[in-house]
Amino acid sequence: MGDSNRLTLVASDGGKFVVDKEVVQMSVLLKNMIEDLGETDESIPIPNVTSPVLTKVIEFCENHRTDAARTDGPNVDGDDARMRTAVVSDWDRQFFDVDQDLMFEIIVAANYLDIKSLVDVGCKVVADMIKGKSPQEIRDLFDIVNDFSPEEEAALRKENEWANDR
Amino acid sequence: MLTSLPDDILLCILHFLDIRNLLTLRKTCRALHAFGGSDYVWHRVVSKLSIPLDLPANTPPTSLHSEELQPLVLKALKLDENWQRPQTRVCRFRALIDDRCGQYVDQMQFLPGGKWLWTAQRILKRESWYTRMSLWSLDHADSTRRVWSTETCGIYRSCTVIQDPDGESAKLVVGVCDHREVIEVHDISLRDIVTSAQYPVFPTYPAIPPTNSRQIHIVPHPEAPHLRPIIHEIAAHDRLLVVTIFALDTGGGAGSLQILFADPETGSTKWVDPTFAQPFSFMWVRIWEDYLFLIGEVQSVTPGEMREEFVIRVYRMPDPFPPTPSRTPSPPAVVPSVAVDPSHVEYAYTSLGDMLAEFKGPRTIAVPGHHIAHVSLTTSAPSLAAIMFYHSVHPHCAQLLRFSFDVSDDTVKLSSLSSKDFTIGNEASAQLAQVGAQGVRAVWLEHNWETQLNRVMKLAYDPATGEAKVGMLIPPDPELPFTPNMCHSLALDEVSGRLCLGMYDGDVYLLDFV
Repeated sequence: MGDSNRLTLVASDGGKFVVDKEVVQMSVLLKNMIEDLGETDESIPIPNVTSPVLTKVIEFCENHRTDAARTDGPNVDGDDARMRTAVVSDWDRQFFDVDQDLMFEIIVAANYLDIKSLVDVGCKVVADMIKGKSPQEIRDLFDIVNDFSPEEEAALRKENEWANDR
Repeated sequence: MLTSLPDDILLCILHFLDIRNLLTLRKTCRALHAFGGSDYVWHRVVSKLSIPLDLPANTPPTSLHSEELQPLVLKALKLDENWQRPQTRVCRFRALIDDRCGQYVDQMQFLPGGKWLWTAQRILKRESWYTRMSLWSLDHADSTRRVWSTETCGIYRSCTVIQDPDGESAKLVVGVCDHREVIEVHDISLRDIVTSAQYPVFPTYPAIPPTNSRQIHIVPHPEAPHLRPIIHEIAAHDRLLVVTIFALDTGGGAGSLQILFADPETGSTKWVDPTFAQPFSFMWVRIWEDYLFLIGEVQSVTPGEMREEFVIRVYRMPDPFPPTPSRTPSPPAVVPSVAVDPSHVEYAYTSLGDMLAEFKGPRTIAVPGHHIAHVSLTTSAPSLAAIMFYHSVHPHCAQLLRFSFDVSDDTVKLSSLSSKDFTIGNEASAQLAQVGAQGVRAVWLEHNWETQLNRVMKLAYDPATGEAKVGMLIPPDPELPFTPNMCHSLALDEVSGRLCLGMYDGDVYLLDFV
């Protein structure tokens, strides 16, 4: 306590994390919260995020703290600029080399905490997993149940004939 | 689980997928099918698409639902893929005329959207030349038919069609030479044609007469009777025709390009001050809304070298035929009280006013440059494409130019300019070049001087990557009822990818690549 550059985050299961303020501020949600609170020694509860997930989120933010300034700039170009800047580095890829449940939980937590770069990288990783696969391969990969009736499946095949004949 | 992710995250994932993968994902389960088929998703897909969509006239893509957009997007992708492949497949071909009558089509053009085509056919009757103008409905792939036709005495010069914004009627303006230069204006109702079933199906002829037609005679300027006008091209605005004229000097001097305004309703004509066209060695006139574009080549000011550059000059559309007070009882305009000699009025050249803007191509070309070129201006947005072939330089080179403009009131600014250079073999030369107004597709007929064979060439430009692919579209010996060596005229609709080829023997074929 007493270090004004550090903050304590409390996960939903009570796990405590002492983190640099600079790192925490990559989350727009927490950044606004800190600004509202002003100087305080109180720890910040993150009720929606469990310790294992928060550990990963903090790991990501610690690693990306230096490029925070870059993403902090005015986001004038919108979606497409985001798409261009969301480059998945080797580090990011290894970071997401976890089981699927954790991967999705990290993305959901990042979305809740409003950490754009983490959401983008996570979504890009998921998109890369989908790319080039057949519907059945995607189902197998993500445990999706095929709930189409045979008639619907036939209609689907017709709907995008072109995509099939490649 | 993927399917239980919040919508905004799922949207973000879809954002990183291309259309093909999006469609695959939609096939996995009902929830993803519904989510990936939302209007929001497809409006975003369309906004990212760099290839043109074959949308109905005056329809912004965001006004359509995903179920309507998806087939259009698929069609556009399918066409793009076929167009880009080394051996483009002809998916369908039909003969519009296949009677080998020998009365060949001199020129033809699709109306925007590729659903209508006009043809100008050269007809010899009783030892006189006639021009038969026809309008073809191509809307229904299996019942392409001639829906309107008229014959005019004289040899074909140029034609243009002005469609009303509602798409229900059109003016067909055709220039012919029957000892002297004549422009005929025909009003055609497109609605009648579409809805009436009693009009005979191809190849029956003649069909319905025009609802209204009139003639305009092009005579030399009173002060320059030795300059014989020859109609070169006609551009049209709803209330004005802008005719590019080659003025042949019968006194032995060099000919020159001139511009003439004609009122399609009254038949009045007015010559434009020759100084406006004078700098151009070759010129097209294009009209976009209330702006007049003079496009062409102007000698550049490089000392000691003859070079030309591609130049676009923009003017506000003048009003050379203001309505007479009797016709329009509008409040009198404030006219400066300048004494004008009444006998001089019809002699007076009209001015184009101040030039609003001038744009130049990225580089100059050595002259003399025998070139074949084509320019198109889109109707929806102010953008323009040109394709030029230079046969006097080695290797024979060609250039695609794409301009788009920001237009507001009295300012016209360049919003983007891209150009692509490519070469064609020295033993080959290009003819009948056609470039789409968006500059993403072009076709031309290439003649090989060594083999004496023709082939139809294609260009595909990808605005997203800036890459242009040039290749063969139709080989010299296609598995089709014609060969490119018989080809005399050609029309392309860039968006639908439709191609129409007219043969020397009179036949006309329509080809679809999707």
